[in-house]
Amino acid sequence: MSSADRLDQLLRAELRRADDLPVASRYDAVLARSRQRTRRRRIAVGALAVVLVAVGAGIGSTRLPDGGGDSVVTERAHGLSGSWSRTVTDASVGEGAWTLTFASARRLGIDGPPSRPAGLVTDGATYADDDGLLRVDAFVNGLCTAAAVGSYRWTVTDDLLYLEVEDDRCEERRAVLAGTWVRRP
Amino acid sequence: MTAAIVAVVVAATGCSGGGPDPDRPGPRRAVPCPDEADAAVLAEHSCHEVSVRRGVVIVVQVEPPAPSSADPVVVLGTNLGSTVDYAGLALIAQRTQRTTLLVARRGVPPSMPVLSCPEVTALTPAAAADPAGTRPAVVAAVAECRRRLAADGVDPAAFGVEALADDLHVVTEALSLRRVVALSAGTTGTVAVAWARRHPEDLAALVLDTPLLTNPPLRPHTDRLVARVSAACAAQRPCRTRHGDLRARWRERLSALARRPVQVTTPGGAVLAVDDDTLRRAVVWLAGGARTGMAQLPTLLDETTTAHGGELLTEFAERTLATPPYCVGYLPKCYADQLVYGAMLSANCPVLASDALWRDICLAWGAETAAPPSAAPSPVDVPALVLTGRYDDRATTARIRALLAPVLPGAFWVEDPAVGHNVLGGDCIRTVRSAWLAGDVDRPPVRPPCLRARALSFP
Repeated sequence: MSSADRLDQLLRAELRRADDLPVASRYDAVLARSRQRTRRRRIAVGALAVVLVAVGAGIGSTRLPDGGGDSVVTERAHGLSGSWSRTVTDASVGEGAWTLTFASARRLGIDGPPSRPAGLVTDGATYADDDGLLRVDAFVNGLCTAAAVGSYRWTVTDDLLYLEVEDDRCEERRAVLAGTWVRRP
Repeated sequence: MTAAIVAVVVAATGCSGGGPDPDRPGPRRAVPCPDEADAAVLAEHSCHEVSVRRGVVIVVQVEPPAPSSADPVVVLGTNLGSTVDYAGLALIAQRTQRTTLLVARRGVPPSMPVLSCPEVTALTPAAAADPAGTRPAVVAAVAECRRRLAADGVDPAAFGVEALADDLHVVTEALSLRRVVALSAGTTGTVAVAWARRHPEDLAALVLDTPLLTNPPLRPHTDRLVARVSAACAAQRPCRTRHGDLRARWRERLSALARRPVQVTTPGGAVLAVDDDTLRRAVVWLAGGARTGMAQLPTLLDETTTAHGGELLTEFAERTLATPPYCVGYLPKCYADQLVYGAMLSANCPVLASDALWRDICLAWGAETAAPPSAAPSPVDVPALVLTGRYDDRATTARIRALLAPVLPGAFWVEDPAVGHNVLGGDCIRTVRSAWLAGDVDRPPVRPPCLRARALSFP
């Protein structure tokens, strides 16, 4: 059995034990994990919002923004633009801080730790955002040659950006991008 | 999205209903971008259809992040007979800060006509498994493809290198481009050089990535390639200690496989017999950029000692059995989903026909048996940057220099010391190209520290 197969087995077993998810493949496993993380985050954010709104209502309506009933959840309020960072713990793609910068003209800046593989090139990438569906071509000239473009669902809550895999056959890009990113000042 | 792009293009160019633009010379019109381009190009882009002699050429125009008045880059594609890798090439606009035109050469889609040969590709698994036994069938299929295309009024001889170079001249004029930078890779280098010779006034500069201008014989070339890798391994103590004398091991494995081929079974159950010649093809495949390139040579040799090969040989077998005849290990960077067999033959046969392996196939395609006369070419006064890989699968830097010296005597040369074919796949050498284009192209390129630090990294 190859190391990849062993990893596959471990991943499936772990996921079944933890979450009882039907897992057909490594790729599906990653998708499932990502979706579950997002669901959990959304539940947590929703609960936090309910609590904060309740607290706000208790203190008095003058504390609410103009328009009264707006939620404090500021999903999409800031959009993707700007810089975001996250610490990746997967050694296969380079452990350490990664930074994404969504710039004008669909330019995606990427920076990663020095330990990243040579195929995770950071000298150019672009993105397109279509109503919450983010498409990126990061690493297309490196490890993601065979899967040029990947797509992710994104949400922004305050200073956090959540990227959830929609469809990306490039394992390394998923490992870097899928997760929670923190807005950089 | 396509509709929006068309609307923008129509508004910008004044075109209406897709007809010829009255304000611009040349038979060009804005068209919806092909789906494969829209799916792969995320930067702002638009598309043009240019009428050329005996067909139409589709051009995808990718915009840089900021408006640029610099000469646009015309990308000739990866290898002759292959479709354009839109996603991999679109980022050139961002990296060079120039408008970039991705040109699908006539013969490959979405340009027209398309010289596909389903008669040949139908032989895909059988020909790879038994090259000798199926060779008559391959030759017959090539001849049948040619007959079918001819019956449709398509002349394969009109898709040669010179004709493709003339197409680019028409594209340049039709799009009202004063001068452009031509960027080629691999065998498209022949078209770039032909363009420079036939229409030098079109070109502000040439960038040739591992130009492949000849088809060297397999055995001596792979022997030399392995000798270079062996020397690199010997110079690194860990590799020397772990793998010993790679050159001796290479000779020993060739002898062993000639006597008893390894039967490699793919996960799908297909079998590829790996004999000495097939091992040489696997080396060509490695040097062409598969996996980590020639650093995998020791692993490849190790795997031939096992009864059924290992992970690397299995991947090679899978790729070989999934691609049309004489593709993986024969043509640089050959992918089944990109290769258009007839277009490959039309453009390559003038060079390939001198090779015994290709002669009857090229004859069946109607190609000449000898390369067209190209001796004593006159020098071209176009600034040129030639990028080579020390472990190129087909040509040494010295060989390419010798071939290009009469045409581009003033070219600047940069060799990537860590890779083989298609060096612009690496970010270090890309910075060399982009910096050269950003500066004075009459001056030599800057060699960044990353280039000096590069070397084969053996496992």
